[in-house]
Amino acid sequence: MGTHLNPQYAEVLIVDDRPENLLALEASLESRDYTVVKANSGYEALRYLLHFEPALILMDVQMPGLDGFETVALLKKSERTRSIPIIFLTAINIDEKYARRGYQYGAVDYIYKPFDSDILRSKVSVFVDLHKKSRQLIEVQKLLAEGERTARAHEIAQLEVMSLKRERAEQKKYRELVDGIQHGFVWSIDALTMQPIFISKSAESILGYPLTSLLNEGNFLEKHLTPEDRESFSKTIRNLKKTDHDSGMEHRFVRSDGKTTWLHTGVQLTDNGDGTRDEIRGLSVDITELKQANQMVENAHLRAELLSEASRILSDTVDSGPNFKLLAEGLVPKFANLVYIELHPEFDPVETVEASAAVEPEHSRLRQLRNALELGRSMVKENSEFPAEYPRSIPLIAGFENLLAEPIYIRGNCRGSVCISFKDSTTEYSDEDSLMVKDLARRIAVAADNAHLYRKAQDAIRSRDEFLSIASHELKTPLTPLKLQTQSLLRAVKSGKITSLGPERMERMLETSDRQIDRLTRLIEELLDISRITSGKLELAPTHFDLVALIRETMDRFSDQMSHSGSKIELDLPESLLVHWDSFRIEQVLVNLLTNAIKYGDGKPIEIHGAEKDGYVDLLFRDHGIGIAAEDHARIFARFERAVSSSHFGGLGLGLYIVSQIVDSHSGKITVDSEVGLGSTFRVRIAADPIPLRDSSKSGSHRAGSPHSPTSTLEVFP
Amino acid sequence: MKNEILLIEDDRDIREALSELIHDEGYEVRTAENGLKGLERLQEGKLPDLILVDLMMPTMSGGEFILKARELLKDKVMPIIVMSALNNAEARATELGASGHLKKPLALEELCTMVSKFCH
Repeated sequence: MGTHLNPQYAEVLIVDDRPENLLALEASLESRDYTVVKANSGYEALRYLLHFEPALILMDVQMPGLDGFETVALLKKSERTRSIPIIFLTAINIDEKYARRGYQYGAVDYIYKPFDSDILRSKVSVFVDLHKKSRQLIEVQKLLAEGERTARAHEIAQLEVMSLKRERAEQKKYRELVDGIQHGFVWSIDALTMQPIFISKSAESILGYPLTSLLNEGNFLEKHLTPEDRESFSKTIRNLKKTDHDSGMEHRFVRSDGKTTWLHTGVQLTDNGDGTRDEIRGLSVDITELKQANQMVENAHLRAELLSEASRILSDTVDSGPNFKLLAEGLVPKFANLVYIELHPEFDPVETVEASAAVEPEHSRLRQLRNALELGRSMVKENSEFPAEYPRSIPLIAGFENLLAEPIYIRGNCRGSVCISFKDSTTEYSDEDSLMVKDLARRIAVAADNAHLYRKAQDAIRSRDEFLSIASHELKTPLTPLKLQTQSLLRAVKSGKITSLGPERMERMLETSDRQIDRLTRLIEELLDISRITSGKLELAPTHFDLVALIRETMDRFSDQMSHSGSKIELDLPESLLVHWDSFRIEQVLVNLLTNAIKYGDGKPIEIHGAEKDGYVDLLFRDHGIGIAAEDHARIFARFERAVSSSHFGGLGLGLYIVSQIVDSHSGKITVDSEVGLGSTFRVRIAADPIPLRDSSKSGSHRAGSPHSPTSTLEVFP
Repeated sequence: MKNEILLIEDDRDIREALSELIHDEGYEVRTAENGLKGLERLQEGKLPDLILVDLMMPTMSGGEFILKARELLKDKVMPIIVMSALNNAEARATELGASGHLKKPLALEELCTMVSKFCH
């Protein structure tokens, strides 16, 4: 727009179709106060007015084409040009009517030609001055409006500053509030770059990193999460939508000290307030203690479950011995990654067990560990507490970082150990774990003891059943010939044919019968002895007698049986051996050892030696028969036991048991030395005058030889 | 021609008494002191008409003898009587496929009836 901003500048438009008139007007109007602009038609004037706003228009009325009135009529239609003052110049139309028309069109004055230059100039000056003044007024108004706006803006600015201060104060309060939260922290990160924007102060103590380092390392949470939680966390925050409700998640954060902190984090995607970027805002709460409490409850449940399962497994297998394999497998991997249970062979007929998962330690290392385990002592967590004699490298063996070892005590004796290795070096076992292993060891001990007792009871029952079967056979055997001979004689007598049998046949029949009665007597005595021994009533009646004489007498009684077996007896005895023993019981010893030698001697020579040295009498019975395997040496002295199958040899299998009990009661000792196929040697060693028997000797002497006179009672079974 | 009986018994007194009694009843008797000896006697000369065998014997038991003897005799008919003091003698006899059993101590009449049942 051509409007001059300078209010002192003004233009005056002169419109006339005649150039001479325009020149004359221009010349008479020339002034420093305004500039004269010329137009030679109504059209040209309108064109000018499209762009400029003159202070005054001097318009000729009579013009070809668009005359003065028509031109003004058009100007009045436009808002912008309506208020421009117009002075008509005319030479002819001077009548009133004509002039009125000019005023109707908005003219401010008429000047008639020929005009007075001074009057014209002064009129023009008035209008220009008016124009300038109104322009100035507009400028002032403009300025005034401008000033007002600025003042308002200033005011607004001040208000804004105040509100900002208030906001800051609130923010400070908010931060203080936020920073006051000790068990949690708030944070925000740029949704696009994932760079931290804000992290509240409490994060330092919860996460174990200084804020500056957290703020400078990108997505600080994601970076330090445990690998197993990282993926789901990343997924959640990257797929957040503004419409999402605060979605909470739990994850583990690895602190700078390596410890793990459990966090519950709620996140929200939101813009930063001015709409320039999106932020992810989060509130993370430290729930480690809660988790630990939950974990403890869970662990307690797990331990209770495992222990109850262990008890079930242990009690299920009382007959076959504790099933350690099943037991160990039940603990791996829920409780540990390696379980090693070892028991003394006496309590573990099956085998020692190891169960492991994930970590497979070398077998030899495990053995090394076991060997190093000092029985009867618990290994404790700290390596330094391993006894000095342990190889220090043991706890460093793969899989043994966290080893818990517990001895298994059975009836006060350490009989084995349970070793448990935990998942990894970070899973430190707790006092509860330690208690659980102790409990487990106790349960194993009880189960192993029960199984052991059960096996012993089963063995005893088996031995007793076998004994009853043998006893039945042995007792009935002499009855058969006895009964046959008696019935045969009876039949002969009844049928009157007794004489036809002949004296020789009859003698033989009676001799056979007599032998059967002797056999039965011996068996019954053996049984009665056993009964007495088991009830603790083996009563000794010690007398002073000559052992050599007793041996020779016994030999005589067995001469018939010996000649039948074909075994020759070689005796190596001194003149006499004076002893203070129960002669009746010692005779039983001699008879049993002799009959055994004959029975198992395979018809080969039997040696009997006797000698005294340093107050002790040594007796030796040696045969060269079938012999006894080394593993049976201890067993043969037990009740109802014999080394060979029961069906092969007669007898109740009680002989050696009775012998050992009698020797025991004389405070003596019996040993066996034998090899299969080469024969057996039994050695008996008893003091010639055993101290325990001395007190009773005075009262016992007058009843010498009487087996039924109780003078001293020995407890055979404590 | 007299019927012949094979008697297998480890106890000497029983063996001798039985042997004499059976002989008195008019039978020939062959004796053995265990199953192994019994198998040897079984193969000496002609086959016996009846076998009396004890169950509990050293070296080779009566049960084992019966199994071996059956193998040896193949499909030939051979009555075997089991003698035992065991309470389950009858069950053992049936189990072993024996023709009969005699419970120890033996009764003379029972023995004679059993023997005459298999020897005509």
